[in-house]
Amino acid sequence: MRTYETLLLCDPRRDDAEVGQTLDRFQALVAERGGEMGPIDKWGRRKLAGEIGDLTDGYYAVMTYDLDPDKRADLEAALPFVEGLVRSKTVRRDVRERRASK
Amino acid sequence: MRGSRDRDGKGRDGKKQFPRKGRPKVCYFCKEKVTYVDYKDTALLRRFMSDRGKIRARRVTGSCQRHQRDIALAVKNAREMGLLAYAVR
Repeated sequence: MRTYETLLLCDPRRDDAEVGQTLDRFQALVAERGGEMGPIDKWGRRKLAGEIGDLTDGYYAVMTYDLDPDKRADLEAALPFVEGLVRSKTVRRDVRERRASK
Repeated sequence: MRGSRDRDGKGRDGKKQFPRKGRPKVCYFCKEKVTYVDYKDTALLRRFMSDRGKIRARRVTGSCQRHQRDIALAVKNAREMGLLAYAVR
């Protein structure tokens, strides 16, 4: 298992309940692949530094979770089909902690 | 000792020489012992960017080679996620 951190950029035109569903969907995808969800940091709505498509704002949330590295590609492949998700970026969290402890 | 050809402020090829001034810059991340450059920390990354949104050169910021690479990657990641601008016109 490795600790990953994914920043999700959700469509801000959807209401809070719908954004919540998007986040729930992501958590379900992690759980389906045997992952364990950690803390979720909801940034909320923010102005984008530039336009993405026709969006000027975005709803951001940072998801932290443990996942088997073999399942990561599978998870990434499922993300484009999550409704209301505009972009996502996943980085390894454990690298940072390992380097910090050195 | 400086040779006679240096006395008029000119080097071997006759061009004017500009001696380095001041103390050398120290890499911020090395100084702070930062091991990971977080692409989500836009306030920090902005210090390594010009007002136009371009990544500042190493010779300007004084970053070490390793951290300059990390900064560049972090800025590019942040741009992809709409946290930093690609270009400010």
